Formats: sequence, structure tokens, C-alpha cells
Amino acid sequence: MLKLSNGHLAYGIGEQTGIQFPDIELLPGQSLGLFGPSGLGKSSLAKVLAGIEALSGGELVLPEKQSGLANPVQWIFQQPEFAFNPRLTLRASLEESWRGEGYQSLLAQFAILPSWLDRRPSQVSGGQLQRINILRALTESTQYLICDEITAHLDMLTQQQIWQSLGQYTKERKLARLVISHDEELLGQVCDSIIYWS
Amino acid sequence: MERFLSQKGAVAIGCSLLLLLLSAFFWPSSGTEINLLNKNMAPSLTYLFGTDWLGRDLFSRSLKALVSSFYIGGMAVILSCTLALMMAMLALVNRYFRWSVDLLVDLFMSLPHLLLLILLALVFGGDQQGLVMAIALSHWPRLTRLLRFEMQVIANTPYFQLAKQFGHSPLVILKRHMLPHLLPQWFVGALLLFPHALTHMAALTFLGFGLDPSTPSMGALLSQASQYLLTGMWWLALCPGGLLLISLLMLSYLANSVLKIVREGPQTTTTSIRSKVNLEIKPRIKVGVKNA
Repeated sequence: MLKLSNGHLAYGIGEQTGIQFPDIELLPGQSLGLFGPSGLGKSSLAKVLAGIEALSGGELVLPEKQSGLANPVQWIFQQPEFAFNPRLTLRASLEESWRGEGYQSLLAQFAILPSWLDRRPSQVSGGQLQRINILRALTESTQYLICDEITAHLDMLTQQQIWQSLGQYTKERKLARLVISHDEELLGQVCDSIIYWS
Repeated sequence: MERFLSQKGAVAIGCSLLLLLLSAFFWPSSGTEINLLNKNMAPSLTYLFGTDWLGRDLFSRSLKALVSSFYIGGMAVILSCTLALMMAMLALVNRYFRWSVDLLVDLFMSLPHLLLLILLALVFGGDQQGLVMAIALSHWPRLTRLLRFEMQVIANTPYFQLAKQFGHSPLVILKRHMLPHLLPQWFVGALLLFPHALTHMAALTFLGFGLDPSTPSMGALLSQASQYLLTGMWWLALCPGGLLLISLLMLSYLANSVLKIVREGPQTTTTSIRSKVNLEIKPRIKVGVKNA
């Protein structure tokens, strides 16, 4: 279970100002939406849940991490252009999280051509890169997905395709996901319930 | 390594530089024999670079000076750059390490360069090892500062932060996502430091804290030559200077080709992609010509 209660993140040392997070409880297999306007700290929340940044107050319950495997909570970053090491090929980036070639069977499901994988992040389009970015987070040890505005900059058709493949896959694997977005319509389509943060 | 060997120019330059240094190292004359009968002679077939005011063969002196300069400069650069990289990595550990490294860098940079060099040379003694230590320990702060900020920039990039959630150890993450971006900077820093180290070596020798004036070193040769330039003895500065210039140019060419390989990263797939892209573009151009 992923549970955040009364979470607080301070900006500097000893400062009173900071971000007060809403309480979140994400059960296995659940699809939860988080709606909020820009600038509230939605991406900071994603960082906290993915264990990249530590809370300065409040309580966070995370699923147990297995050593040598990828984190069970995976944060999918909104801008795929910055989510990949520009020096590595996409194949190397995928193998970093998957620890092998386990992702191969999912390429077709996410409409990824194997030939893209030998390129570097700057040599494929934004939509192609975002699919690979999503695939990178779906490792065998993943249980919770934090989808941080993952289709905000894509056109309607690509958005639909991505959410369709992701929805199908999360249903098969019973993955829980927290969908962060400022697009209420999208949240209504892909989530069971929505938290409004303002 | 294979990619380096495929660059014919770099291999040729590398081999000739190595040959030059080796032949200089094994050159039979040490260039310290004084022969007052043949002093102040212009370059000839007997004395390729001429002789100096004490009748010493300038060619032998230049070769020996080149070896000692490359040895001291190279050792100092390697030591100081390794120290800089280690300090910059130390600053990454946590806030307190960062403060300590910054404090140390500020402390070293607040002292005048030459004063620091003299102090260190006095502590370590004036021989070759002493010079190496003095130059190495006084030249790391600048590069450390550069590397530290470069590392901070990378540490804040999304891909570096995301890499933490894939469950690899911090050292693996550092090696995969930080060092490849840092190495070019580090390499350029080392390259720029080399001539700097040579001039400081000369300065220390000139001030009497470095090598014994009779042992040939590039800095000493050139600074002594400057006193004789106005008397028309041009070869004293031109010949050793030219030798130094040529070997430094060879070194920088070599460094540049290594840098190119480092920049392109550990994978060699770009060439295959380029050829594919070319194949895709070519037919389109043909169609355009037809329409026109």
C-alpha cells in the first residue's frame, strides 16, 4: 500500500514555507487521479512518492524495496526529452531499469519499433520517446505508477493510444497508478476516483 | 581503444611523440658538459641547435629538458586532476562535505598562486618530486570548482534523479550518468593545466626554489635565453621553444582526438543510424529534382 498522510516538504533549512500535500491512499490495482492547477507542487509530490526526495514532515508508507531491483513505485516524468541520458541509446536506458531484455515482448503493445531503440533520445520524436519512457517504468518489480502529466504535450490521437495501451497493461498486471494532471476530462476517463487539490 | 586506432592521424602523431620522448630519454649526452672553446655557436651540422654561453650543446639540453618537463608537468597534471575529481565527488556526498570542499577551495584560491607554490616547494624540497607535489597541490582548486558546479547541474537534471528509482547503487549511477558528461571538462582542464604547470615550474626554478639551474629544464632554458636574445643569439630561445611548441601541439592534437571519442560516448551506433538516415533522405532529393 502507498499512503501519504499530512505530508510536508520544506524548501530550505528551517523554513516554515513549503508544500503541504493532500492525503493520498493508493491501493493495489487502483487508478487514482490527482487534479490540481499548475504550481501547486504536483511534481514534487511525485518525487516524494518515488523516494527521490525526502519529506520534511508527515508520514509516508511505501511498499518494500527489493535490493538489486527497480523501485516498486515508478515515477514517469512529464517531459521525456529530459528523462533520458542523452549519451545512452534508448536500448541501454531500457535495460538499465529492466535489467535485461524483458521489455521486448511489450514493444508491440506500446507501438514501439525495435529500430528506434538503437537511437539516442534526440533522434526520436516526443511521442515515440514518451512511449519508451513509459515502458522503462513498467519493470517486473513495479507495483505503483506515478503518471506525472505524461500526455500533456501530445496530440489527442497519441494521447488516446498511449492511455489505451497503458490501461490494458495495468489491468493485466493489476498495477496501481496515480494519474497527476490538470486535465479533468482525461482524469474522468482513466481514473476510478479523483482527488481535488487546491 | 579500437576507435582511437582507427584514426590514422592520431596514431601517427602519438607514435612520433612517443618516439621523440623515448629518443630524448635515451639520448647519450646529458647536455651538461661545458666546452668554452665552442661557446655561442650558431646552429650547424655538428651542433644542431647551436651552443650556449658556456659551450654546452643546446640540442642535448633541449631534449633532456623536454623529458624532465613532460615528466614533471605530466605527473603534476595527473595528480592534480585526480585530486580535483575526487574533491568534486566528495562534495556530492552531503551538505557538510560540500561546505568543507568549498571552504578548502576558497582557502587555497585566496592565497596568491606563487606564494602557495613557494610554500609547498619549501615543504616538499626542491627536487623533481617536490616540484610535482607543489604544482599538483596548488592547481586543483580551480578545476574542482568547475567540476563541482558541473556535477551539481547534472545532479539536478530529471534523468539523473529518475536513475535513482531504478535500484542501482550510487556508484553505478555516478559512473553511468555523471562521469561521461564530466570527462570532457576534466580532460580539457587537464590539457590547459599542462602548459600552466610548465610555466610555474620555470618560475620556481627562476626564483631558486625549483630545480638546480645546471639541470636542463624547458622553463630554465627559456628564461635564461631571454637574457641573451638582445646579443643576437636567437637560437637559444628559438630552438628549444620550437621543440616545446611542436611537442605541445602534438599533445593537444592527440588530446583532441581522444576527446572526440570520449564525447561520442561508449556506444558506436551513431554511424549506423547516420547511414540509414542518408538512405532515407537521398530518394527524396531525387524526386525534387525531377519536379523542378
